[in-house]
Amino acid sequence: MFDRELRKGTTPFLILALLELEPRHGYEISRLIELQSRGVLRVHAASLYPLLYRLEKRGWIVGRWVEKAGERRRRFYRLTASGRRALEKQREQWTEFASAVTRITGVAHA
Amino acid sequence: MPDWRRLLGERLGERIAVDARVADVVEELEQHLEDRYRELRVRGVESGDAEQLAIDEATSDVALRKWLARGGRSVGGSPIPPAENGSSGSGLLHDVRYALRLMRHSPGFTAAAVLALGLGAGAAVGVFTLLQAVVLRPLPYADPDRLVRLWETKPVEGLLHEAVSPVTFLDYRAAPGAFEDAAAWWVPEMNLTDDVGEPIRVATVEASENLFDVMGVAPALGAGFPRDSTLHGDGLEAVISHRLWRSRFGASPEVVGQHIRLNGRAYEILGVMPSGFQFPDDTDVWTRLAWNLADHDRAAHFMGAVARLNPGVTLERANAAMHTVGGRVARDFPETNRDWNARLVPLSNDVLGVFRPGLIALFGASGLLLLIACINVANLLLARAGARQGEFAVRAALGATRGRLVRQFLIESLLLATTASLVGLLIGTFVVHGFVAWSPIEIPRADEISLDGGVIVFTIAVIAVTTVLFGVMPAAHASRTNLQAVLRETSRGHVPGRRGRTFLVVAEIALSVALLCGAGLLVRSVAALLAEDIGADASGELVIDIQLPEQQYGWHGSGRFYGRLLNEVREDPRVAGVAASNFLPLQTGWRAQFGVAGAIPLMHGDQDHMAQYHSVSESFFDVAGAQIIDGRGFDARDDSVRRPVVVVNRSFAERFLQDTEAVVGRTILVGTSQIGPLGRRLVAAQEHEVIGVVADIRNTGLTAPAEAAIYTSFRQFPFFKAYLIVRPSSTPDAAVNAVRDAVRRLDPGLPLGTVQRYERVLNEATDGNRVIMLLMLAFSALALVLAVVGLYGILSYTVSMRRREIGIRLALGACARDVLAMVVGQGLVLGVVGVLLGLTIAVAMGQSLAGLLYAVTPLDGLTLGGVAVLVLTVILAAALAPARRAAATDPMRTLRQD
Repeated sequence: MFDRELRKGTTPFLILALLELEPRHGYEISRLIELQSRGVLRVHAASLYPLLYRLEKRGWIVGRWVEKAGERRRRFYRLTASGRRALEKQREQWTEFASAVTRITGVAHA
Repeated sequence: MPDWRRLLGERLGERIAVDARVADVVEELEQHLEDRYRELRVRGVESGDAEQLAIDEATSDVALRKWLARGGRSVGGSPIPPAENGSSGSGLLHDVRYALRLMRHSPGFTAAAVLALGLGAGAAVGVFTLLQAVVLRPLPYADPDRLVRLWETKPVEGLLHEAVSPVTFLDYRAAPGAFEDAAAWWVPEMNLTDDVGEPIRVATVEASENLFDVMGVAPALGAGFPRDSTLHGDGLEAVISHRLWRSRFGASPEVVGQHIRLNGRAYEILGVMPSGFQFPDDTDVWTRLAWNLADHDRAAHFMGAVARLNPGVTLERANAAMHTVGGRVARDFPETNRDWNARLVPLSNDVLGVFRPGLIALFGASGLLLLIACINVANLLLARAGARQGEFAVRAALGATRGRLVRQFLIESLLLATTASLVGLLIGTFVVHGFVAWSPIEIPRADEISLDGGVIVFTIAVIAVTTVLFGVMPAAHASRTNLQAVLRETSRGHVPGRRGRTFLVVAEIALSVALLCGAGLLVRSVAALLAEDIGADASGELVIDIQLPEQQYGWHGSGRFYGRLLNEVREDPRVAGVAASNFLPLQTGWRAQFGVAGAIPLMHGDQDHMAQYHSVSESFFDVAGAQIIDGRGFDARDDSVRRPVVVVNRSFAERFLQDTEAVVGRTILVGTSQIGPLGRRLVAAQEHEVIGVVADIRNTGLTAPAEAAIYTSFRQFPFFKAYLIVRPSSTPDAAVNAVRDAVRRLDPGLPLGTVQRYERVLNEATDGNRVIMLLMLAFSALALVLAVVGLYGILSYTVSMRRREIGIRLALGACARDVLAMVVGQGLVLGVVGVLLGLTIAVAMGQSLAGLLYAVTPLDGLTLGGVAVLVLTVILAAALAPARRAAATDPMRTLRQD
């Protein structure tokens, strides 16, 4: 498993990326992180919801209750314009960071 | 279902259950726990354990407790009324937006799919449009199926496409029961001079007056030619084309009854044909036949003929009737007609030449290309579906119905299909216009081309079916599969959908091999055609044709004019060499009898001693790039007041002059003194001295050996029409201007004809084959690229899915080379199966290309073997990249990931 700090730092980035295509609710986000990382990364409810709140407070995402006939209502989060910008910026930084690390450590992408 | 609110209270403090500020956070958490619990249960976890695990996960972090204690989210959004949600309208919009974002999100996939489909569809639309416009659409004549061209034949000499003798034409026309009517024409060269503008050359035929009736097209203006039982009239009368009427007569409705000046004589205009009617070839003026067809010679083959079959008469029956008549004429007139016969060819075949088999083959090829593109995209879609199985499963677990999933994928597929169709139409338009614009040859009926609605609909349908089928099928499938299995297996070594994709890749390889074989055969044919030795060679020369008005010049005037013109042009510093002739290489000269003094007596009607006569000027053999192998060519002194001389070709010398050692110095008896109204011998004596022998210049077409030929001096046997072959000393334009200036000094009213590059004249015969070969090559190269992309895709995919297995192998001591060999081997197995299948298809379909092949059979081993080697090499290269990646797998890292 990865270092806690490393995980903590990247989770907001993951959430923004997952919301890029469409609004999702909390459980869906946590499930997709696990599935798409093939089980390497996990985010549980305990850390997810406070984090969602922080992102919302920063104005990067917006949560809205959505009701559907015959179902319990769910809170969906969607990316805002500034969230989209933040995502792009983090993508750039990440690419730069990763390639720098790769250059120094000689770890190649498998 | 456990009471989550109570459980949360136990862990996070009772207060949260009643704190209004955190009510919605608790609700959200409750939701989450419920989802998590349900998922764990689906995966087979006992209810007690699932409850424990879920609540542990939710409360393991102190952050949540602190946050809730601080009041959580102080402002929550207000609920949206239920009525606005779940309705299909907004859901549909949502799906479309999602699909659009998805397309943007994976530009590589989108571009690959759209481009593959677009190229395939574009090629198919383009080629089918050409096929439809050029080949399939009926000719613009009444009942075109009943129209046939009539050719005379002499099978013993391999002549199957000879112009018709006017006298024999009348016999064929009278064949009992065959024709409703038949018409004939010949092509005099006409200059149009009037007060309106520059003198121009107009494409003119002198036609029997029933031509328009046979074609079933009446003049748009005027009555046309009057009918007479002898098929000709006495006056100078003409019908003009719609095009000429507009350009030269300002579309004046009073044009009928006015006069048009052709070669210095005034023809009365009797009618204007409807727009688009230019038959035969590209005719602008039809003059009424002014002489009796019966008063001519059976040995003079110079007329075109077209006939309309009687209703209900088949081509076979009419051809049988021709054969009967031909046999009778040959018996009755053996001197002129021994071994001659006639045959009929449907007019549509005749107009289209190489384009008919060519376009049909190309259409087959573009259909295969479209199929390959569809397979490729199907493959991409399946691959993506495999990668998205996790997403399906999560959505399904979260309560999305199968219908909902299918709908979303349907929309994604339709969006893809729409984009690809638009790109395809663009490419199709480009293909059509590019083909028409860049083709070095005139494409028959090119002005009638427009994109075909039917084929557009068909292509869009094919694209839509492919994308929808392969886009939606996996979604429908996934929603049916056991969620538990999918959720458990997405991160393991299972490779979903591989068998189907493998099959598709093999099919792609097979089809592209078949296409490449077709293209390869065409390349070999064209290479063989280009390797034919014409006996003439171009090095930057130009060909300009000039037609003297016979009334004004007369025979001697014509001889003098060309003599002076050649002298003047030769002096011009802009020109490095010039020559004149009445035929160009590859054209067939006038056939007539000859004799050899002391060996072969000159006899009228002697069919065994006929040769082609060509008139050429001094320097001709040099400028035309032919080779004198004995004696000399003509020089400027070989004119009408000097001793008559000839040059013979090698075939002539070998066949008729082998009885003595020396060929040069022998005497030939020239059996013709006048070629109709076209040319005339100015020297009285029949006896001509052979001054040289020239290596054969092909004179019946590219692929037939040269007939025996006698070359007379243009100054001794001038024609009104001549081709000037000019070798520029600097630029081509300067050389053309040199000729134009010289002509203007000699006769200011005389127009130059067309200017062509001599190289084009020599290569024209292979143009059609070359164009079709190039398109076929482009199609098959594209097909190969698509197939290789498909193969690369499946190998990369397999490697990434089997990384864990590969890691284990490496950890257990397999070396990198084993892994490399495993992946490359997998690629090669697919390749070999595909290539074998493809070769089978190629052999089975080879016969359909037979009409386009020359000097190569559809079973050509070199081509088939070469294609197999090429494709396997490319496949090997494509397999190496994923294989290297697999071999470089770090076993520890791979294993750690699970």
